[in-house]
Amino acid sequence: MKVFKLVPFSKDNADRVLGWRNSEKIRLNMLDDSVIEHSAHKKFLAVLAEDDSMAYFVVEFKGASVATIYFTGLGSDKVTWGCYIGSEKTIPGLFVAIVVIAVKYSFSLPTTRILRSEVAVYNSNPIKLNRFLGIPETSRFSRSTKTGRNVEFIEYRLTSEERNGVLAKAGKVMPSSVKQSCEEFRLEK
Amino acid sequence: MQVREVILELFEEALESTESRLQCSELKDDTVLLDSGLDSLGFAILVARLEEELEFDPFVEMEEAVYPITFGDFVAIYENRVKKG
Repeated sequence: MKVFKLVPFSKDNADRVLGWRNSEKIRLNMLDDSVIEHSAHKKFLAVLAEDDSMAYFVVEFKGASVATIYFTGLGSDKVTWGCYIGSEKTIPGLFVAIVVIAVKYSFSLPTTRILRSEVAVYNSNPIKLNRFLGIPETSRFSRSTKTGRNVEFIEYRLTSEERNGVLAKAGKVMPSSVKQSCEEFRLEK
Repeated sequence: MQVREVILELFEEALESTESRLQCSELKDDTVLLDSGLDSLGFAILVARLEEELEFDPFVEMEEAVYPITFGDFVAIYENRVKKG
């Protein structure tokens, strides 16, 4: 069976990651909406190597890199996560599968009690998906992005008690092709 | 009912269930799926519903990952699967 693989950020996938991350459509939804240079990314990789509270991965599916997923606050009771989909092709259920992976990965750590995310108010895909899955909106706040835009963000929080309900709802809208593959995703070294 | 008709019917249903609207005048074979108005949740719902109706998910059976870019690609994947039986 083809499973999802989480491949840590490295110099080997830097070009692909930056190609996605620096595209206008991705930056529009980020708090840091600046273009990231290779030199800055290289420094960030060095920080990642030393900091166990953060994990950044390229998501691979059926041999292709399709997205990134990242976590901060690992080892504390509150983990924050985010993702962006890089694939230009439409992979049915991919976004739902990535949410499932985020939930399973975060709550596999014994310390995690809350999984939170922040979504720009105009980013309708995750807003609709969070609503559909029953992940509650907990606050709204405005922030100035790195390039100086003032953007309102929505915070979503999922508690460990609520996670099984979310996973059950996700299972109803995942086609077999991704449902089977994210039952057990694999962490690459 | 032909596969294309089933897809069109469930495409409409997926748009409604995600409170989305078609972003073009009509779905044509060259309509890019990402520009159609159906978002990622809607597309997941569409394929999951098609699996219920047709009793197969063509994407699970593919040796090589082939994913549609246009609506025509999407329909062809299902039609080819039906032809194979």
